[in-house]
This record gives sequence, structure tokens and C-alpha cells, in this order.
Amino acid sequence: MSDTLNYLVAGYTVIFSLIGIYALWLAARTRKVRRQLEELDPRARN
Amino acid sequence: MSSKNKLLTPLTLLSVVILLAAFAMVIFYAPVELTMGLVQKVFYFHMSAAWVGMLAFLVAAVAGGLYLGRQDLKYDRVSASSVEIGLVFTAIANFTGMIWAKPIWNTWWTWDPRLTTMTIMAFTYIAYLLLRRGMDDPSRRARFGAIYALVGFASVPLTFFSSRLLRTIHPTIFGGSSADMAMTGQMYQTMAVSLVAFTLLFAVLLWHRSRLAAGQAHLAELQAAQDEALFGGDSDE
Repeated sequence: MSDTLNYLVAGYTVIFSLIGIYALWLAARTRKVRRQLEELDPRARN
Repeated sequence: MSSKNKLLTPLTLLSVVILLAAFAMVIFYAPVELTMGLVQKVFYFHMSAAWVGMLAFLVAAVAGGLYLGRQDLKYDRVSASSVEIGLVFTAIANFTGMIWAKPIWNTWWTWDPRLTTMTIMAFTYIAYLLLRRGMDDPSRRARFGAIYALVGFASVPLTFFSSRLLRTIHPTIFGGSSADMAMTGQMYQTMAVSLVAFTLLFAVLLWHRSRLAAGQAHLAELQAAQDEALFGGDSDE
């Protein structure tokens, strides 16, 4: 059996990094849009 | 943005828990493949990501069709959101495929039919997002997006069947020969949990992304109304 532990670690680092970056980007954009909406339309609060 | 749906938060938490459970199964439960070694464990999330990528493009095509039938912009938002998420998962499938290929095929990349069609599929949908950005009119953008999502979907079955119909070195798990990659019961169970985890994650991300798109559309309307009030329709000057 070949030693491929490094590739396993690299693979899952890529997977969780890409999912994490996208989720964080989504959360940041959502927060920004919600803030802008609240500034323009106070009824958008909650 | 409208108030958060009560189901979205628990569903988001559930998707994270199932994803971590699937990862634990990959590491601690699934046996190590004898020929390839530990790198074979990348397969579980690699295949799940590829599945979600294709599912996302299918959802985009269906939502595009619904937009054309009902002329409701919410379907356009779902379609565009699904394409964006599909590209994230297609990128994961491509990068993990390269990492898996290096020790097994001794190369990061080869122009194998499956890898080539996957790349064509990814570029088809990258073009979709880029072209949409160049259109300001929401109705025109939605009509274009719907037709593109329907036509572009042709690249998905092309990718799926490429490793079944053409000569390829890419293993085929369903419908391929057992010589491609022999799997045990524990491996199939881990694969099933990974597929469920990624499918749920896709549903949750699509929900969040569609809500964001709805908020962005509402924001654009409010800003246009504010400009109208301030400049009396001469906002271009």
C-alpha cells in the first residue's frame, strides 16, 4: 500500500476550505444586504 | 430581507452535523483501499461534490423552465443561485480529482473524456454567470438565464455518461466494471451518508443564496425608488 496520507489531507483541506469560504462569503453578503435594507426601509428590520 | 424561516436555522445546523458525521465515517469507519491507500478516501466527498454539481445544474434548468412558463423572477433567482453553488461543488470535484489523480495516475491532469467534459461543463456555467452580469434589465436577464440554463444542461449528461460510453481511465462506480474500484459494504455506507450530507448542504446553501438574491433584488428596487425621489427620474445625469 502506497503512503498517500499527504494527498488525503490536501484533498479534505481543499473541500472544507472551499465550502467554508463560500459559506462565509454568503453570510457576509447577507449581513451587508440586510443592513442596507434596514437603512433604506426600516420595515425590513426583523 | 424577510424574516428568517424557522426551518432554515435547524436545517443548516443539521447539514453541518451530517457533513461532520460523514467525514468521521470517511476517516474512522471506511476501510483503507489496499491498492490506492489513504488517498482513496477522498473519493467519498469527491463523488458527492460531483453529484451536487450536476444536481445544481439540473435544478437551475428546471427553475429556468419554470421562469419561462410563469414569468416569476423568483425562479430566475433560484436558477442563478443554483448555478453558482453548482460551480463551487464542481470546483471541489475537479480539485479533489486532481489530488486523487496525482499518486494514482502519476499526473495532476490528463485530457481524459470525463475530465474534459467536466471542464467543458464548468466553463459553460462560468460563462452563464459572466454573461448575466452584463445585463441590467431583470426580465431580459431572467429570460436569457432560463434559456441558457436549459441549453447548457446538455453538458451535464455528456459529463455523466462520458466515462460509461467512451474509453476512459476514470473509474465508474455505478454501471461500471467491478475492476474499476472494488467496494465493500462499509464503503457503500460511507458513500451513501456522504451523498445525503452533500445533498442536504446543497439544499441549505440554495435556500440561503436564494434569500440573499431576493434581498438584493428588493434593495435594487428601493435604491431605484430613492433615486427617482431625489433626482426626479434624471438619475443618469
